[in-house]
Order: sequence, then structure tokens, then C-alpha cells
Amino acid sequence: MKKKWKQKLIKHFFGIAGIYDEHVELEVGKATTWAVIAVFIFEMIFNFGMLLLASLGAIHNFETVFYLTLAIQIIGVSAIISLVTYFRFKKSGINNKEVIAEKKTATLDKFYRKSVSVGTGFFLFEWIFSTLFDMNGQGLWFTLFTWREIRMALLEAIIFTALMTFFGRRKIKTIKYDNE
Amino acid sequence: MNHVREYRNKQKLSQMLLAEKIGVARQTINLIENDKYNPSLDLCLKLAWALDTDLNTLFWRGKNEEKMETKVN
Repeated sequence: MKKKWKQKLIKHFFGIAGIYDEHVELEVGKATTWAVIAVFIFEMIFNFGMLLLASLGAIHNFETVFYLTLAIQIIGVSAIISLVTYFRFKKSGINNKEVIAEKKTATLDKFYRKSVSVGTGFFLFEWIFSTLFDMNGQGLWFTLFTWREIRMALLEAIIFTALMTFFGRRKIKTIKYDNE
Repeated sequence: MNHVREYRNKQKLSQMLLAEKIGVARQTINLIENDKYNPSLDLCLKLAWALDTDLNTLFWRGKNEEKMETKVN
């Protein structure tokens, strides 16, 4: 039970569409090892560089540099992990969902239905979440139903759903009944 | 080379059906058949049961066979 929950989490985190078997587990292990090495190198070089700059007295506005450093760290680490794992998985082909021609239509239907439901969920989450930060002293219900909030959440949900569908669709591969 | 493909063909199973039967991805079966992935003992046993044979028959390589493969590689 515990293992299944962990497997689900790993599958969703890395966007693995197919069956999570021991070979996939091995490839995930290899990919994440490379990602950890890449993150370690990035962190070492970046932090050492910042330390050097600070100790040489080249930094005057520490507050701005602090925010900038945080932003670079977040973007850098996310980009490294995403790119390293994406290319490793693409090379090994483990994030592909293989279907035979007869089952393709049904699989695509299921995939599109799931995309719509995830997109709707994302819209609701984004709508409520952004409203909580945009109230400016006005009531929750008033702000929630302003056109601005709905439009923003809708736009973000459409972009998110379109990207998710585009990349998800690319993972579905049609194969012959027995690919040698 | 192991004998997984040979025994799968004997059983008239496709890679996909065999994969479904033992709960792995089709790519994994393909990799095992082409000697590009060494399966765990647990998976070897599942394969042997699914193909109605034993581990020796499926995976054992005689000394001569091993030597020949080393020469080819």
C-alpha cells in the first residue's frame, strides 16, 4: 500500500505515462542521480561565486541580491531537474504510453477527458487562490466574482491545459501489436 | 542470448500480452529479449511461469554459447 502511494507520487512527479515496473524504476534512479550531480555542480559554482562577490565587497545592495539569488536558485534548480530528467527519459523512452492502433481512439478520448477535468480543477484552484491575494480590503465574494479574477484564472487554466495536453499527447505512441 | 523470445513465440504470445500477463511494460520485455536489460530474479521467475518453463531453460547459457557471444561482441 505504502509502496503504491510512493510509486504514484513518482509517476506524477516525473510525468511517466506507462507502467511503473522495475526497469522504469532503474531509469528513474539513473536520471535522478544525474540530476542530483547537476544540481550539486550548479549550487557549488553559483554559491561560491556569490560568496566570492560578497567577500570582495562587490555587492552593495544585499537585499536586492538576496531576492535575486533566491529567484535564480528556484529557476535554476527547477530547470536542471526538469531538463536532465526529461532528456534521460526521452532517450530511454520510458515516459511513452504505448497503445495498439485499435485502442488508440479510446485511449485518446480518455486522455482528453482527463485533460479537461484537470484543467477545470486548475481553473478553480487558480481562481480561489489568486482571489485570496487580490482582495484589497474588499469582501471575498465580491472579489471572487469580479471579471478580472475570472478572466485571469481562465487564461492561466487555458494555457496550462493546452501545454499539458500538447506534451501529454506526444507521449502516446501507436505501436504494432508486437514490436520486435 | 536468452531464450525468452523463442519461448514466447512457442506460446504464441505477443510482447504486449506477455507484458500484461506479468505486469511490466512492453519495452521491458523487448529489452530483456534483446539482452539490453538484466531482469531481477523476481521478474525472471514471473517470466518462467508465464512461459510455462523454468529459469535454466530461459536464461542459462552454456560455456560455449558464452564464448561465442564474447567473440561476436
